[in-house]
Amino acid sequence: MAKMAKKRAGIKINKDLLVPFLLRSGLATVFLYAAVAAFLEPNAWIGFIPQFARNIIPGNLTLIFHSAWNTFLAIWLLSDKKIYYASIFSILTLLAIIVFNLGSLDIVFRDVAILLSAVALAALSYKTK
Amino acid sequence: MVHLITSLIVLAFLGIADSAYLAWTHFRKKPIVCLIGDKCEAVTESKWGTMFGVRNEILGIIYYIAILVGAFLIFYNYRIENYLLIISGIGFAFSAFLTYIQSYVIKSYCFYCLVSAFLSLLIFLNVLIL
Repeated sequence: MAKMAKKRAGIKINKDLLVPFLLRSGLATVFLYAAVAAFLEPNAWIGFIPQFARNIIPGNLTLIFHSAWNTFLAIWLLSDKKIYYASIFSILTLLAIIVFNLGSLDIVFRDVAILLSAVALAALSYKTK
Repeated sequence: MVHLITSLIVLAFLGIADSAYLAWTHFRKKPIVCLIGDKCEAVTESKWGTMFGVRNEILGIIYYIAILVGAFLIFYNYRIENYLLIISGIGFAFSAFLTYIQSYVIKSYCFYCLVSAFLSLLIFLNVLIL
């Protein structure tokens, strides 16, 4: 036990880098899953697109745009470039999902936790002059 | 079934990103950002960084692309689950071996190599229940 504790104490963990990495990876995984799932199974996702949007653009086209946008966000978050702006766009995307699907709060309530992860990432990556 | 294929595609994509980052740092001679430990290069630039004359990062990219293509083929009703199980089993065994090497031979850890090993484990489990 003491040997294990000694070994654990020897591993250096860079928390300043590890925490943003975990937040970025988590958000990217969520966006990527949504993008792939909407592409493979559009019928299961079309209901989450608000009616007004479907009136302007056909539902399937909206889903393709949704998949493309989520993939773009995932790649941006993984790239670790301009992360503050990536997290702001993530916040806006997740806010839109929650607000337009308040009727399905039983499903989207977990998105609140993901939204707050994006807020945490924005706070961590915000640089004061 | 579609959920498992979706997660397989996501894991493969994350694996490609992870391996591509390691390949980029090696070929562009950039330092690896070490999130755990401080001697990541001691692992990636050791003699264990190459297998069969090919860099492990390149083997990783090929492996994850094979998983990605396999997942799409299963989605389009090609019956290749058994082949994918063999490929993912080899990938997982290879990752486990490299993790052992990091722990007991090199005695240093490369964070992104550990991420790749974890992804390989998840891919193998995913294919097992496919």
